[in-house]
Amino acid sequence: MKAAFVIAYKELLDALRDRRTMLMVFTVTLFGMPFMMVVLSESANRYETQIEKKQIWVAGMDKAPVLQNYIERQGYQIKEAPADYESQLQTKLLIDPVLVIDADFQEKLAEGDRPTVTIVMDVANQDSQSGVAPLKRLMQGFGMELASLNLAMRGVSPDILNVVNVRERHLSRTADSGAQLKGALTMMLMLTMVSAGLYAAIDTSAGERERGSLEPLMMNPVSSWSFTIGKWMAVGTLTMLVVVFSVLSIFPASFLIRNETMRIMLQFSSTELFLLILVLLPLGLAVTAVQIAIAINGKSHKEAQARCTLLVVAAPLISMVSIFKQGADPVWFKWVPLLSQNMLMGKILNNEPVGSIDMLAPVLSCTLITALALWYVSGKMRKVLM
Amino acid sequence: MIQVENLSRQFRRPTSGFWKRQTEIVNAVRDVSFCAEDGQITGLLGANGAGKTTTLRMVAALLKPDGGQIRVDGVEVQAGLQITQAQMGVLSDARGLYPRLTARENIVYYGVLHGMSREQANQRVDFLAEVLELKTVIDRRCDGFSQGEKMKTALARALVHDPRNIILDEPTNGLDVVATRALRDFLRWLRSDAGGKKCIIFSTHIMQEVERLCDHVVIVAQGATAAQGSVQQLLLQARETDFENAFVRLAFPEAA
Repeated sequence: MKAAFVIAYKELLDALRDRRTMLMVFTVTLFGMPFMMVVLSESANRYETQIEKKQIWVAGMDKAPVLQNYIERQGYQIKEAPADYESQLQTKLLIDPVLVIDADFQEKLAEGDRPTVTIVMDVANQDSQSGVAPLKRLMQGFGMELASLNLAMRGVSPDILNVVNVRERHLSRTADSGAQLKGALTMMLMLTMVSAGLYAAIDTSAGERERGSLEPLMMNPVSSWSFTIGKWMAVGTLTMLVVVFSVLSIFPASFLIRNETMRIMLQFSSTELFLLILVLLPLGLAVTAVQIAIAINGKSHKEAQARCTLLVVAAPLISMVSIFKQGADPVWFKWVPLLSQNMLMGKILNNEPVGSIDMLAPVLSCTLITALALWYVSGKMRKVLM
Repeated sequence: MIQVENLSRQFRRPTSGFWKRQTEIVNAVRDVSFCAEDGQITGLLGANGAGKTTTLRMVAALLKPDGGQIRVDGVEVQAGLQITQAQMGVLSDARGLYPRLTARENIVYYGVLHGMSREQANQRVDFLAEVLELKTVIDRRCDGFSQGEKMKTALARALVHDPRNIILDEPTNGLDVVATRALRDFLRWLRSDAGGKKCIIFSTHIMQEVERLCDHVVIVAQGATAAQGSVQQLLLQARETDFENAFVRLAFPEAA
């Protein structure tokens, strides 16, 4: 075991002096999580401002004075749409949808006919899409008001329009909101984990073969298991350090969030963050072992990198399997690495109770994977030279 | 002492075929036998591809022989097992260093893996750096080392644990004349009583090296021992006065 520690110390020292590994570590830990949180909060911010800004673009407002009166009463500011609004929407010079009123709007309305208004937007223009819903609500409100007035004039209660009283009662806890953001957060942590120690894992296996240092190393009277454990400990430590720093970077990153709602949603307690690290620890160690097992068959950095890329791509894809399920999570989810961690992190971030079986199952499956991968590496370590 | 008896090893070499991989069998070593005594420098002399490196890799327990036996100090060598490796210092064909570690760190790492304490390993590094003229670069990172500096560091790394048996695969490759002479002197010292009467196996294809250094020469040709003995005995056997001519006559009788 002493030899394993000696190997781990040397591998860590080597990795810390490797510019490629450290660039990956620093980029991922220092910028990854804060960058993602800021981007998400900014997009939420933009969505909210769009809803709150109460300003609509209309083409042909003069054709519908009744509608103008309604819109203005709702506190909206009406802006005359430019003549080339279509091209401006396509080129994203105009970021809000445009309400186009038919020339015969007022006449049709007076005749009791149904006039037409058109909401123009560009599907490729994300911003114009988000403005459509408020515009639709505004037009529905206008329709309801006119219908109610017409019925009232004929002595009929406007309530006749509301045959069923629909009420909404939300069962979700307050912390449940922002599920999408939390989903992105867990996905980012997964990605961080599979990419953080990648270069170190490759350097410690295929890198040794490429520079011709594996052969002299294997001439030392040390068992293949000690070499395997030592190398795994070093890369595992590096991976877990990156994960710990990434999780901890959620604290300072929350100061960069301008959106108030988001900031409240992303205020996690230190217990929650500690639990996140605890959930990710067995997975990180298993991922490291698998990475070394894949890379040991590569004769060069390049070859090993190509093989390991499969893992980097597969990891987020596996965690996306949960998107396709309907209803509650199936029982087998908790036994599948990545899926189980995804599920657990979701529960922790949403303040849901986490059972001890939920925590233990992924630990067991990850331990099994780690043991299998390390057994494979120790068998291969000397065989690749024969 | 290292005893090698009727050693053989085949390799499968891929030839062609995209869908179905085809291979051909190459007899890298067919029948190599020799005995390297303690306090002697045994030279393994052969042309490129004669089977010297494969033989040495089998002696170093890196490669499993298809047939034959190897004994190091009476203990049978088993590929992949470490029982005999503690008694051997091997400078193999692959002599990669860790470029981000200093020469000292590279050497101490191997010393500690051989069971030495860091202090012992550092003391040994100081001694080897003095002998191999590595003092000026010993605390510099290996990245950017010249060929000779890399070779000397790899050599020091192989000898850090003061092994009884030393195997050197073409150790003068990349060394200049001065460094080669220094290495020769160092090997002579290791062979002497003061140096610990080491058993040294030295593979090369350079005649001069063998003539000047080796007590016992094993000529390997096409994977088999073609002849062995001292330089004088080989000259007599080939009825030549020039060692190069003697080598050609003994290794390639059909060409001579």
